[in-house]
Amino acid sequence: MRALEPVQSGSVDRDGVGIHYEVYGEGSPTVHLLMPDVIVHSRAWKAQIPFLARFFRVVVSDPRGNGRSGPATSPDDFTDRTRIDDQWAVLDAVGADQAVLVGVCTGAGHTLMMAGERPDRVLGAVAINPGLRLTTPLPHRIEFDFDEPRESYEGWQKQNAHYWRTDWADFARFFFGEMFPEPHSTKQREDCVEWSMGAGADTMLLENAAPPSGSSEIESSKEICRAVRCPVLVINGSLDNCQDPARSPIAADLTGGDLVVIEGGGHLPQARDPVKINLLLRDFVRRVAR
Amino acid sequence: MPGRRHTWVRAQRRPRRALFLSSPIGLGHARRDVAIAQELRTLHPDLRIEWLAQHPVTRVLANAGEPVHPASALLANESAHIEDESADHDLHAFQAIRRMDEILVNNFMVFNDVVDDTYYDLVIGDEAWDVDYFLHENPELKRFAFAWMTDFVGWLPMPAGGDAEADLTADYNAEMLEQRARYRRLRDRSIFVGNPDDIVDASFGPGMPRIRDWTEAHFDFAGYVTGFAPPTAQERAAARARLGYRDDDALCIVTVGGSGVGDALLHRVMDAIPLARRKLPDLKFLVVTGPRIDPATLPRRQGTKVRGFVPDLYLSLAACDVAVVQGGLTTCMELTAAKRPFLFVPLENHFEQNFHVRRRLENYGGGRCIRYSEACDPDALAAAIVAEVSRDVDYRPVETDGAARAAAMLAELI
Repeated sequence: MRALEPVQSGSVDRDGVGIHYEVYGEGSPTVHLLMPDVIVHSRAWKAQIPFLARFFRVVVSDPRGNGRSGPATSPDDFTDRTRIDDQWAVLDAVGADQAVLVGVCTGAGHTLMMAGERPDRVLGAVAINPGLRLTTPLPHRIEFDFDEPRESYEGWQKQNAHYWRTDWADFARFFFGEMFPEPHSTKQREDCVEWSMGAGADTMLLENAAPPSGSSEIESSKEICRAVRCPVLVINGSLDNCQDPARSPIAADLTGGDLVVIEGGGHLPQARDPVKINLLLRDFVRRVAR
Repeated sequence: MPGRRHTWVRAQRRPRRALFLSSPIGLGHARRDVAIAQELRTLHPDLRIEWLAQHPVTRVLANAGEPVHPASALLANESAHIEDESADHDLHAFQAIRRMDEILVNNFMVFNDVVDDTYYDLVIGDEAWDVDYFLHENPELKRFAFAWMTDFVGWLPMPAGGDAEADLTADYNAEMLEQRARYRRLRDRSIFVGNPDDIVDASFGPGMPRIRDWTEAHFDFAGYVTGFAPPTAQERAAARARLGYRDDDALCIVTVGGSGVGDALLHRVMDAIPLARRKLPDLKFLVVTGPRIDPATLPRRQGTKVRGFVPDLYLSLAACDVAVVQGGLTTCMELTAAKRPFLFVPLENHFEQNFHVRRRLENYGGGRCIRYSEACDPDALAAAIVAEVSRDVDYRPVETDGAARAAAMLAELI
């Protein structure tokens, strides 16, 4: 059973693809928990929604290709531009002229891009383990060729197109084991694996084939950060195995934002340390909404 | 947006306050916690006790005139979740609690705001899983004495779950043991509602201690807390008369506790009633659905009354000639304390009812266990009920000072 039901839910049409959104609570300001990477969907925020909705108006949405949003059919569905415009469309649909944006990984990069391009609409941005290429990727993320078939697949070798098609569920179990290095994270891993089945190999291969964009290069990623004018909070898990943890302090420096390091935390601290993250988010929203 | 306002009260001006958290899954904790709170007030007459509680606990608290904190309305309902997880007398309790994760986070955040806004000297958590867990995960949030109470220790796998479930329960147990080892200061008292020999003969998991050894070393034992003085013969007779039964009636009470999970068992008993009454025409049935099952949803049977909530059910149970109940600890122990014969039908896949409660009932010699599959055969269930009617029982006496002992342990923290 969910801890809280939405006060409003719907779908906004984006050139024939329905983007599903939900609104919780009726406070102010609007807090948009940005759609996560397509490998999961808006339930990834389940530990934040009911708490934040006691004070603010919380908006979540599913990425195209997972959850209750329409299917992805092309790599172009996963450009930064398309996904950011999906996020704006959700804010338009719920009538939010301004919002605090919170994102994790790619979504965290999007919060900063959105803050830069529409400073009038973004009151503040929280970037959890931001997925901007501010450093070279972690070695294990690029060590093995993604397209080359192998006789067997161990560890990060499973990040491979052929393996995904053969046994997506096993990749997901491996991957989320890496994303939650914190001991005793069985439930968080199970949740993410289950949500990842809504995307599956076909959708994930489309995302993997998306054309490069601003967040793919070091210098352009730095420009994205420098363009931000609103208050920023960067949250980093020191054991993040997805995004190089060194990216977070760079993002904080370049945006003039605050940095909170979760020592011993992984890629998804909002799920594994929800109490700490919830309190950080409430404090930040209250501060920037004054 | 208006500015936030806050009052800081100087330390010596703060009244003594305690916040009581009583697990809302079923009604069992509510009764014993009210009894403990009443004993605690006798030791600290100036102590203000407030309750952060959900339905159906709030129902018991209202009857007892106990003050419920207004933030209770913000809690997400755990009983509703548990009912949602159950089907046909089957409740996988361990997985249901795992899947309650977002509710537990929500409720901890409510608690955390309550203890931010009010100064409490003591927080008492009777199986308040969210508070114990998240305090250990966020130790800087502790700003009160904290007493933990429970009537079982250790997640145990059900056989149907195989190795995968055994791995999971061991992992949960390991996390708890690590939390306790690292943050002793988080609990100022760990109170086991029972005695050492009530504890299961099992291990926390591979390479981990025996549950009983560890619990004996880390808990204080209050003995069982029924929450009431044993009814006298006169009280029993009066309860029977109030219910409208004659001395020569054979009265069978059927109850499934306070959550809505027992609905299936109530229907199985309804199926068996005509057969049982054919064997024993003087047999009358009183079916108590509890506050979360609508009595109108049950079929009618001759010789059978159906009631919703009965405030002092323990008095009625003490006045019966036989009872049919679920495997919940409280009701089974009320019947044991009253030395009544009874059948208990544990929820399938419910580790607490199938292992922890059974261990304790064996210890007291209380009741006779039947599996739900047996209860689904109306002939078998009818025969079992009739065989139990007015059977002489030889249960071990249930202690009557548990609430006072628990209260004395709590009183030291104030």
